[in-house]
Amino acid sequence: MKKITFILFVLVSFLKAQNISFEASVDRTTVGLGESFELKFTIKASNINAVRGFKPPNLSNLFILSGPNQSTSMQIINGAMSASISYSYILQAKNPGSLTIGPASIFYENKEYFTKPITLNIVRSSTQPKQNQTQQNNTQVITKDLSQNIFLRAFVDKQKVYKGEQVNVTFKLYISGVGVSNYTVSKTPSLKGFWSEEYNLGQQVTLGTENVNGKMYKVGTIRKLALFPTQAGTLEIDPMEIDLILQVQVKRKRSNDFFDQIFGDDPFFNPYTNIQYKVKSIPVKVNVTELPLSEAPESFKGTVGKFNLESSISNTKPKTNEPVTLKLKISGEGNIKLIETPEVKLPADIEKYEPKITDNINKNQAISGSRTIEYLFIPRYPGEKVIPPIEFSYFDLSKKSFVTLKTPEYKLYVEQGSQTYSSGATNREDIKLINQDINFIRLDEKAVKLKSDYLYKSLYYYLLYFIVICLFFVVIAYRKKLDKDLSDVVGLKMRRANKIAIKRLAKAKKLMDSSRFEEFYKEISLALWGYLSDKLKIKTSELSIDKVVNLLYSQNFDEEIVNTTKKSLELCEFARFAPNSETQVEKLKVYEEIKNTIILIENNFKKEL
Amino acid sequence: MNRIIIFLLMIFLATSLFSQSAVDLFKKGNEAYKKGDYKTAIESYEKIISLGYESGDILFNLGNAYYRTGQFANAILNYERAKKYDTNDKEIEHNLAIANLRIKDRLEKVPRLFIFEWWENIKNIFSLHIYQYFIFILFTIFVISFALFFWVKDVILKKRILFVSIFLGLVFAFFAIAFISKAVEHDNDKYAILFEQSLKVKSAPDQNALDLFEIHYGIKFKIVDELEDWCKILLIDGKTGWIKKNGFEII
Repeated sequence: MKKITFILFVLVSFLKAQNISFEASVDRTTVGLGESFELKFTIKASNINAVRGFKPPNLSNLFILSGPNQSTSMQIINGAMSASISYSYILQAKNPGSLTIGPASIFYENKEYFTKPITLNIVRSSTQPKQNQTQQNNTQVITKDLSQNIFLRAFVDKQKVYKGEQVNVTFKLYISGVGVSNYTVSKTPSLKGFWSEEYNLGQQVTLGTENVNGKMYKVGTIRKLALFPTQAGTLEIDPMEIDLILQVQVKRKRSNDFFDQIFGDDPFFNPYTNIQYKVKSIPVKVNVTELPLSEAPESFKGTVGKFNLESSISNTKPKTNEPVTLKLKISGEGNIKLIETPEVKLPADIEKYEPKITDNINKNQAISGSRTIEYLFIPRYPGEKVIPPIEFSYFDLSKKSFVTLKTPEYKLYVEQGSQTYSSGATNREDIKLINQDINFIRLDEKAVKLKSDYLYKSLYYYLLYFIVICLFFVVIAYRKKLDKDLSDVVGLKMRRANKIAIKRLAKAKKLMDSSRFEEFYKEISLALWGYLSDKLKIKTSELSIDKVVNLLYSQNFDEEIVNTTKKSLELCEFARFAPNSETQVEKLKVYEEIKNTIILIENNFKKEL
Repeated sequence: MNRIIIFLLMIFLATSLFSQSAVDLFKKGNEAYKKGDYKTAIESYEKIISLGYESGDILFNLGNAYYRTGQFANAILNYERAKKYDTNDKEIEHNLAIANLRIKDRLEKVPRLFIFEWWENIKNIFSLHIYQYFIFILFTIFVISFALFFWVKDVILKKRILFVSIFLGLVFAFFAIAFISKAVEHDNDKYAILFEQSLKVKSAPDQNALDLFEIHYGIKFKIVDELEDWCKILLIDGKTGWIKKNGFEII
């Protein structure tokens, strides 16, 4: 096309022709109301490319059915070339009466050209088709009649449903007297507020016949959908649009032609044209009622229909870490795909995995089928574990009430398996903890304590240690003093031993002189024993001859002295048990001997000191 | 003299008044917690702490309230603080473990030689508060036994007491070392909880340094070094790196 215009341009510029004609025409000047007619603007010019800015007249009091349709043609006659552009409109009058179509304008080589106004006469009825109809006009008329012969309708099987109840919607195409060579669905309904499931109708549309208002139609089901309303209220099913390619018979104008007279009405001899045609269904309303949710059981999750529940378990005596499958099969009529997986409340020490779901759906009269849910879990610890019943509820449409189905309670007897769980001890601990909650708060008011700094940071803490150490030294000092005092008492005794002995000896002498021998011996032995006790720092009660001997030896006394002392002690013992056996002289001897022994020991002690 | 008495009396009165309102706040917080009004509970407990009160139990309750509101970093922070008062408290440990499950980072503790673990456990027998008294009591017992040794005259008994005394002295020395090391750790070691959602840990105290790893909200780490507005952190799994000094709270 571009090439042609280019050549044209060259030619035209060569010729430099200036002539132009711009005309408006209608196919008829008398038009029936509701009839369509054609308005055409033709521009003939030698330099067609110079035509700019076509401005149509005001057509607001007419229906524009089609247009502006632009066409270009070119003619070369005897070397003289002429080209033309035409803009055509298919119009329809709105009101009867006289109608003037105003001028249209174009620019051609910087000059504006106008067409002459056209006056039309619109008549109220035109039952008689005009004789001089063009072929194009024929098609137009047929298109107008088509709305009676071909249409799309949407049907719902129920007007009033519960939320979740199935509604079938069918889109049917009605055809009468025309052929459809092809169709495409140009706009599918959006189906807001519904979950939809499409029925499988097969590739080929099967046609039936139906009588609508006394007219026979061929009927084809284009689409069938199962709808499940997901919200309550009045829901609208949007229209569906179909683009059709129709084969339309074009009626030829009647002439006096012989053949026409014979075959005029025979469709076989009438030519067909393909025309595009769009059909649209009318929106359909569905009234959706809310379910009586106040009566709904806890396990109800919005499923509506009629269902059965079956369950089975793969193994009731598994070993630890061995997987167990609990199979749940929900089958019936209703929206299987919208079933929510029922929850299984397992003991905390059984690990649960995401359930596996398989659907098996039949799309026949109503959507039905089954959903199989396989719960996989692995017991980690041995013992008897209870899987509580799994509940599944639905709203039964025939009973108009909620139905709850339950699986039996399963008991697992988990045995200790040999397999060790490999996913790590910390994870297991985590899982265990996840099922626990934090401990509750503490309520004891004693908790309210002033924030105290650590005692060890203050000097007082170390002062405490210092005090303890001081006390220790005080105790030690006290002990020392006590020891000292004790030793002083003994020393005093020792120093006074001699004097006591002398006193006792003097007393004994007196007793001997007055012949009280028994008392004399008692006194004299007391003098010796008492003296030894004080001197050797042992109690009188603990004294014995052997002990005295040993002690004297240990204190390095001479054997002579020890023997003398031993002899004197023995003498004392003997004399005490036999006081009257000796004579006065002998008694004096005893006295002297003991006195000497005391002096001897006393002297030796003094030497040592 | 009179003035001092009046002054002391006033202090006593003031503290007892404060303490009364703190007890009321504690009750209020507990009631709110029971009702599920965790926000009020948090406010009450925080108020008590701002008045200068603090104990393992208050911090534990505060941690619980934070946990319930989903502020896990705050919960962990308060449980960790509570642990300083009540070491080896099973409930605190449990809640801390649960709160730690709610944060993103899961760190594995670096395994150490058993003897270090053992030493760590000895240090954690008591909280520092109790430890200081424990050590003092041990010391006193040891001194008493030593004094007894000097007191007693009987040679055999003296010998026996000496053995007991030496044993007590060793026990005291052992726990004293544990206590001192714990106290030094307490005064020098800084642990912190991250409050930022995520933070890139750098290889050096420099904005342009390499990103080593990322830590997330609620993680506990030790601050081992500081340099200007940067600090070096050590995670319990042994990773170290530098972060800017903000977005965390010292325990």
